[in-house]
Amino acid sequence: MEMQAYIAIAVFLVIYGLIISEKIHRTIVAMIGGVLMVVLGIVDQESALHHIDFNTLGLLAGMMIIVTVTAETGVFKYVAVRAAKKAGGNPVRILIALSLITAVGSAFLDNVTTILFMVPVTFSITRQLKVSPMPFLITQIISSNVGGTATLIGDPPNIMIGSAVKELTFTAFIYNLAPIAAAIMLVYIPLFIWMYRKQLRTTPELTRSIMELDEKELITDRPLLVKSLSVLGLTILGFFLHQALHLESATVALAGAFLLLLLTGEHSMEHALSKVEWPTIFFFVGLFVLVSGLIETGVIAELAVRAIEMTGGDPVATSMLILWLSAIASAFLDNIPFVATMIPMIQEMGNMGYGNLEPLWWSLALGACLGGNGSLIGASANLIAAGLAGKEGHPIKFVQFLKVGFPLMILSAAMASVYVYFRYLIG
Amino acid sequence: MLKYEFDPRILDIRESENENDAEFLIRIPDGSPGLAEMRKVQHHFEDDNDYTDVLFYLYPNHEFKVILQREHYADFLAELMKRKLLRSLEWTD
Repeated sequence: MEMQAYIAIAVFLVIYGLIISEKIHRTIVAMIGGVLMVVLGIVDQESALHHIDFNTLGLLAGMMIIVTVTAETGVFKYVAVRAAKKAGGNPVRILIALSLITAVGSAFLDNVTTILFMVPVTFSITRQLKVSPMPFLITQIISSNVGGTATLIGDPPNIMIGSAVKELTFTAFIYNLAPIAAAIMLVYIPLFIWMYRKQLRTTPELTRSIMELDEKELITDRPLLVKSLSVLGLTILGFFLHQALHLESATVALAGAFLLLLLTGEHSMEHALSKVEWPTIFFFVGLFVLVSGLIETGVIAELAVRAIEMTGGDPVATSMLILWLSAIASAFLDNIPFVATMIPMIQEMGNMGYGNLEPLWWSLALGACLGGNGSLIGASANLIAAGLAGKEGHPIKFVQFLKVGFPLMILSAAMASVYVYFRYLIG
Repeated sequence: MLKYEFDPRILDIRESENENDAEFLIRIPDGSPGLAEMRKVQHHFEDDNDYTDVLFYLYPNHEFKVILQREHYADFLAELMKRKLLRSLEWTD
């Protein structure tokens, strides 16, 4: 490798270390890393821009706009309160209901946004029942990562993989990942009940106070509700059809977002754009440029060669290596930068003549998404929930989450390994 | 402490303790202009980034249960006053 490659590795490792340390905001660090790659001449500006995946950014921004406008109608609170009433006001059943809503919401909206809407309503319900919000928060974080695994838009790693590999459509993600995500949730739900049943006790009077709530009053703007749910439905339909329509998923999301803003007017536009998580968008921009330095200098190609050498090119060994490496690494590093590095490596393995890449992509998606449950810092949804909970006086301790999340993550990675083996590798 | 007065034609307020928090049961009569203003108060507290400062629970017949942290007691009453849902609000010894 040339000197440029060593400089690129040094910049990458320093920036990665700073992201993990969380001493400085990850967006600032990633953007500085990206700028350094250009300033040090490792990539020129033209190449840097070329490496920024605008499909990932457009998909994220489009969904954030749609969900922000939809949330204004109160529909997410309505769904949560309705579910709590359907659960008879029983805390254990509410915990299950909110976990399932979080999982499904994460699959079709994205897990970061879903957590943003579920945490406040969780505080509201648990305060009313006078039970600890902690079991609810922890199970929702875990469910958000499992639910997000099921679709292309569910979790940032999947958005990035789907964007980088055009053959992996929205339908392909559901067809390949939703069955195992559903199976993992089915295994997790009884475990959630077993873990938390003793902590979730309330009085008949408090249960009644939930049952008497009038959830219809939570819908604040019915015309807007009709518009936003129609556009959300059309957008999800668009995701199912995006390959047949020859459209990228970002085009579908942005078309939905700006159609909704066209229907709602200028005031909604300013509010919705102000709610887009620009720090997340710029974090991605910085990462794409940072990783481009490793691609352009041949570091990623070298890593791919080493990975193939290590596994002898055996599909089972390579898939399992990617799945478990992704799971363990994503538990303790942010899974977004990890996946940003792994995607070009797997592409490079394809360029080197490695056979069928599809099991590797699903292994990466499963490992990175499910691995996010391994620790509190494993995924963006975890950090956002922990941040909200801490601000409200209910800090989720790292070890407290680790004790629950890590064993469950290992269980899900084991289930995913069996699934990948029997579905893609046997025979 | 804070003392307040309200117009029962606009709304009815009952205040109690709820562990360390304050709890208000606010009932708004049918046709009262207080309903729209009360919704603005709710929106004000739910639109900020503090999710547990003031919690609103909505019941049939325009009844609101509001559970709020003690440190937000004055903020909440001031917001009611601002929306003309209180006749008076004053500090007393």
